[in-house]
Amino acid sequence: MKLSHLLSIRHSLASRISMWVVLYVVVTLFISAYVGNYFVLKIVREIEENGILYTIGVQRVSLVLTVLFSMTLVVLTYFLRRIIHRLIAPLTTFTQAVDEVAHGNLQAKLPEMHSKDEIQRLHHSFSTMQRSLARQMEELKQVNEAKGRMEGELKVAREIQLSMLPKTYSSAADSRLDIYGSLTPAREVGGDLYDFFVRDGKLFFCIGDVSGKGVPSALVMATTLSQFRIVASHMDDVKNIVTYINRITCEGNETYMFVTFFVGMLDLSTGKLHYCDAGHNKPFIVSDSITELPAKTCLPLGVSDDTTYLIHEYDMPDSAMLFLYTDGLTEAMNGQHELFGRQRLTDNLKADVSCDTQIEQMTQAVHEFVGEASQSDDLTMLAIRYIKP
Amino acid sequence: MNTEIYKLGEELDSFNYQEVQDGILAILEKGCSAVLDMTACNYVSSTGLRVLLYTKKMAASKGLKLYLVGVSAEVKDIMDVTGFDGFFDTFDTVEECLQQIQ
Repeated sequence: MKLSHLLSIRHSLASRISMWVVLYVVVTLFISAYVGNYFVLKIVREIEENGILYTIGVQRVSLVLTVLFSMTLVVLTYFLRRIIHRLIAPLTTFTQAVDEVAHGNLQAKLPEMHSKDEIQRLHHSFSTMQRSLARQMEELKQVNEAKGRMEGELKVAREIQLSMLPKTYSSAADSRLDIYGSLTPAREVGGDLYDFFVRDGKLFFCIGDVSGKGVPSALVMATTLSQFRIVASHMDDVKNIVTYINRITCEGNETYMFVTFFVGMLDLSTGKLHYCDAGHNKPFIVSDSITELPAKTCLPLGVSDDTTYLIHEYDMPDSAMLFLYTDGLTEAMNGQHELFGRQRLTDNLKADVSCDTQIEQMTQAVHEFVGEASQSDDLTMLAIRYIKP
Repeated sequence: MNTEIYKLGEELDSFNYQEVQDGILAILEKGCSAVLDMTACNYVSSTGLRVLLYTKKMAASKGLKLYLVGVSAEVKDIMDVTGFDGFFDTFDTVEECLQQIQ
């Protein structure tokens, strides 16, 4: 719409007022000329006929002129008020419509404008804003709907992920073992993983952490977990297991996600543990004392397909508990940006509690420490107690 | 060999990893090896490590290199714990790095 031709209220007001003032002055002059003339003549005759004093006569003339002037002033004021009201009236109706829009009715119709000045400009700007606002509200509604769908899908994905993890292996089924695992993702789905199973008198277990968080890490977590299950189901040698899984992870790894991984095999008749640390936190052994399992840390899975992995051996003491965790435990942060840390972790490790109790107590300690702050990383723990037969 | 320096800030994590990755890749695109000045950096998350891994592999695929300079004790610790000890080419100062690679 062409706005350049619109006049200005100031100009139209000024021109209308000046027009009326000029008209007023002219009319007043004429009226006062004729009427005043009539009265002056009348008074002069009275002075001549009745000998009324000159000064009284002049007073009467002045009185007449003053009355005349005041009456015309009243008329002028009336007309001026009418002019201003006529200019402002469209603004009043406009304000009412704007109020309606402000109270949420974006579809409210603005009144038709006939003035050709700033008010027209205001009307134009406002209706543009109204249309733009309606469009944005519609877009927002669609975004919120998509977000709701996404959240629903993530909830299902979380259930799937958590059901992939084994929970416990009670000592009732096998008196040589007490195992408990727990994983709490920071978001709906996460990148931490753990697994354990017994085959041919040997316990195979692992714990790991995919770089990053959320859906991408969850996808890599799922494939790594299933690879471990498949590979450890028919390979006994820990070195072969980890080397093979590493090669699979490197294949088609276009986004270069890597997985810190700890894998172990415990011979249940001898208590001998074979293990490999591929970039992961070293587990703790809890018995008479609390010590870290000695290991040379190798590269995580997915970094290089020709990584040579080092395997270590350890004789598990009777009734000792192996405590594995991911850095979501040591790096749990509270409101003051302090980390839970290794010291608090070892302080909370007890030698004489069952595996599920140990993990529940540790989880409790972390929650108390973190307080109101939100969980920043997946919290994962696996506790294994070996009882020599 | 042509090199260009990219300076890191205090942290390399999931908030700024994309711009750092883009910055280093831009250097590699020009055919220059990248020298990463990490003297100001005191924290690298796993996402940050992934960026270093990715850009190193990208460099290798183009016949170029990625060098890390001024790695602090904290960051070195993070890398060692994750098994990246000795994986990256590191130097103490930019001068030493440029000298060595000529």
